[in-house]
Amino acid sequence: MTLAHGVVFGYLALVLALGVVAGRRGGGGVADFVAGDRAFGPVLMYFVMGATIFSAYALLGTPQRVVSKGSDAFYILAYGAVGFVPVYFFGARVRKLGAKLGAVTQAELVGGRFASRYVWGLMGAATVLAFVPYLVIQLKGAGMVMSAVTGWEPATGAAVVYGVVTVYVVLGGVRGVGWTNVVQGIAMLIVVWGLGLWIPHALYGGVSEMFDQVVARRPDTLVLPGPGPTSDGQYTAEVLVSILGFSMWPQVFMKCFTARSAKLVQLSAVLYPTFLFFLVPLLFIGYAAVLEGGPADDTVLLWMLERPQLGGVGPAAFAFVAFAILAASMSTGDALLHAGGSILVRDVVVGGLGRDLSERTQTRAMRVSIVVLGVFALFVLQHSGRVSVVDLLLLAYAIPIQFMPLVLAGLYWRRANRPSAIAGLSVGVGAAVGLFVLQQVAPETYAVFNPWGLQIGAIAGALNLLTLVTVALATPPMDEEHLSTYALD
Amino acid sequence: MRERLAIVYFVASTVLLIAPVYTSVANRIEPRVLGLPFSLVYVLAVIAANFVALAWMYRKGIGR
Repeated sequence: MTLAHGVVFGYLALVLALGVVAGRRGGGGVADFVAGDRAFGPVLMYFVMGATIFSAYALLGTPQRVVSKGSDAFYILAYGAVGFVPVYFFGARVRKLGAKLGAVTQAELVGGRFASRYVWGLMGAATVLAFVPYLVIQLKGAGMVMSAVTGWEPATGAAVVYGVVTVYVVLGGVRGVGWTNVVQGIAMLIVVWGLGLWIPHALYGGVSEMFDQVVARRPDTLVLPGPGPTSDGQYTAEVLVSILGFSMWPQVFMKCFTARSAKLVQLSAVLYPTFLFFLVPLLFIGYAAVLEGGPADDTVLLWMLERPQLGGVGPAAFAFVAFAILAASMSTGDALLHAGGSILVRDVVVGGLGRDLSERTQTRAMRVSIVVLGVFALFVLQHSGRVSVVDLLLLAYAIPIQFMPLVLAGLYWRRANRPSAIAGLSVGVGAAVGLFVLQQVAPETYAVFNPWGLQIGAIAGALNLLTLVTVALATPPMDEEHLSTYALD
Repeated sequence: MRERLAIVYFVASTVLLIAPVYTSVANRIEPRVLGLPFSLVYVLAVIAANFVALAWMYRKGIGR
């Protein structure tokens, strides 16, 4: 047994134990399973928000993006700088309304505001659709690491890791997700910073010295357009579109309901940038890979560790990088599984289909849904030769953008009413799915509809917003009593 | 009122991060700060400024 085996399996055992203990706490009802009885304190909130957002994709994809596209990779920092700010503004209100109305999901809050089961159910269904490819890439990351550590088939490794995740999510609910996220968040921060400073030091004598060499040998990778190349317009579109959907991802949004107080939601938005800085060392590793001629794919992080110049410390570093990648994959994957299972039951079955289930039945159904979703994601991973997960991600990122007009109009605009929300969401989700399908099956026709190659999510979002505003202005507002329930008086 | 000003500030900070502002002002290697290229330092500076702005708003209770 190597060090890597010890670290990885020790870590898996630890999170499993945490999940089991987490499951023994709390009331056990829906509000507990989904929103932790609305009692999360500052440490939990900090790591839940930060670790959920930073996925295996961020860890593996950031250095890869530096190698393939140079400074275009900074767009991740750029959208993070403002992407989470909306949570500061709407988060406190969402937390208060959630407690007052008993809501535990985003779709439930929005569906309630517009008194529409259709909106509630459609948002839930679209969310689950968006989660699948996002979950599959987390599994892919976990499978890659386990394969590197144990030599197993990637699918087997992913199954083992996500078996552990499923157990702690099913038993521990959101508390299981939160507690393990603290461990995973700390692990990621320490390993990534350690590695990001150590690699430039070991290879070039320091970060500054490394950039001296990049300036001398590959200055093109430090400014746009870079080796991609990325045009100014493309870069701007990447940043803006990412900002639009960022605060709307349901698995992050619904964590507003878990906070102990409204003020605490704002505090997590304030502290979020400290988590963002953790991408900086990944950029450093990316630039080291540029100088070393590393591969421009998601294996580049592990490739860097095999550099002979790093000497005998390789195996130890490898063990901890494997640990960090697993932590990144699991801290995002657990939130997706937990939110996906909860949303499938609460939003699609109870909300959309109107099934009147008891609290106990709902919680039980959520647990079953989590297992089903996990198995389904594994199935997609195994067949991802035929289904391109990267293509599906394009659709996934277009979905949360469709929630933005409804959430903001619902919280801040008195005139927004039921027909406007139904029309806006239908047009938005319909356009996103329609354009995506068209792009896949008939690229020439798609090009006629989208001559400038704009992002699907942005086009659908604009149509959504336009429809919502037009219909709202053409129809009467909802009654005063209803609006005052949502603090719109 | 203070909430409106805050929103204006964050819209302005977004403008700083995209074309034409980012691409004309910040898309350069020099001046380097602590060895990092200016194109990166600039984005980090905006993040730091937004962090300070949010922390100040939180202390003043803006947006509650």
